[in-house]
Amino acid sequence: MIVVVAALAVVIVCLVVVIVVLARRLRGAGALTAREVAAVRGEQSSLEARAADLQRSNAELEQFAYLASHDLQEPLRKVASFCQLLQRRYAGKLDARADQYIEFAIDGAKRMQALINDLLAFSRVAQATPRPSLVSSDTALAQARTNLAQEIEKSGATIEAGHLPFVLAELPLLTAVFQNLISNALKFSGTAPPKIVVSAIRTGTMWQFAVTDFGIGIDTQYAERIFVLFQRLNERSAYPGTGVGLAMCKKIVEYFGGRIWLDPNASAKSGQGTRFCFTLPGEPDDD
Amino acid sequence: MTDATPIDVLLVEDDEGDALIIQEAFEYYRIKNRLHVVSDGEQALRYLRQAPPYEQAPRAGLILLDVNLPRRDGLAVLAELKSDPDLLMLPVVMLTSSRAEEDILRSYALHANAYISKPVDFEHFIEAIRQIDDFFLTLVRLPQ
Repeated sequence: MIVVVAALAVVIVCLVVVIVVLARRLRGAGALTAREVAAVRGEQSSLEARAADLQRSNAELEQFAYLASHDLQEPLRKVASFCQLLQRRYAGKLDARADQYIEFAIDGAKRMQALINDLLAFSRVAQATPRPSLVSSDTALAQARTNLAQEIEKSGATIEAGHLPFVLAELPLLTAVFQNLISNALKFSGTAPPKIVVSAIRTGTMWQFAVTDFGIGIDTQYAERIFVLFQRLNERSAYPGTGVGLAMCKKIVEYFGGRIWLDPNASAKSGQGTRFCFTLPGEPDDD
Repeated sequence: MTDATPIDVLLVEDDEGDALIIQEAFEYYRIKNRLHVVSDGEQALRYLRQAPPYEQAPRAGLILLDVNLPRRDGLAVLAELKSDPDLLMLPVVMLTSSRAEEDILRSYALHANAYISKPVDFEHFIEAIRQIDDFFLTLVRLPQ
């Protein structure tokens, strides 16, 4: 259901983009007849209507996601608990096939729990109006590293970061952005111990961050798709995950007025590492 | 776990599945304390006051009280317990699937002794039950 609504939202976004491009072309075409002007105006007002529709359906989707994930947790906990109990009590006492059934049931339930938790976290972002204050990205990165300490240690990863700036954001959300990006870099590192570099440069009023790894990389044809909720490019067995992480990063960054993208130069071919860039507003007066 | 005399624990839980999980936890960890289960607030109060049909019920030493109960909910039961001079000394652990901050605050405002979210993971759930038992019934000294 949610996937369908998300897919619909994507289709609507594409439509809007096409209309914007068309409207720009029309505007740029020089002298327009009165009928053309009227047509452009018509396009614009329908564009605005669509944007409003999109915003509303997004809000409804989020509300739905929140309620669904909250209410789904309870029965799912029951399913998972009793499958685990079944395994605990009867593993090896039925037959090999029964053990496998139980294992699949537990695996499915656990995956759904992970999905629901991520979806809940996703839908909680941006439920209120942003209350940005100046937060230290050093602190956010440090917290993300602490939260990922186990994975970092297990993979033998090194994370290099210079001094990072203060930005207008909220600390837990900025931490979540770093955490998701670093967690991806750790996960998609390939065989060598992962190396991750975090940096930031000032571009006008914004700070532009880059999180670079030297792992398996992402084919740039998927540069947009990876930010859509539940989109995954790899087999679950090789790279477990729910497909919420990057969608969440995008939602957070945009919530504070920034932008996030896959750097096509650093990620031109798969197998050459990945660089994600995102921007956040800086302190108004520091230059 | 301890040589102390087993204590009677009253579980107030309307969800049969959760009640069973808690019973399983008692069994699994060989918790010697006896678990009694009632499924709503009315029964809980009758049980604790040894009103019919609970005239013979042993006195509980610890109450595990679910927040979401039919009719009179867990918070209302808690309020009544804590305003009854005969019962207010009994330690009450609120046990709930709710993580709503206001439920937590209201529970403590009504003098709950602890508030525990039922862990989503089964292993964590039964471990939590073991820890509650360990803390309240072996570690803490309760009034006799």
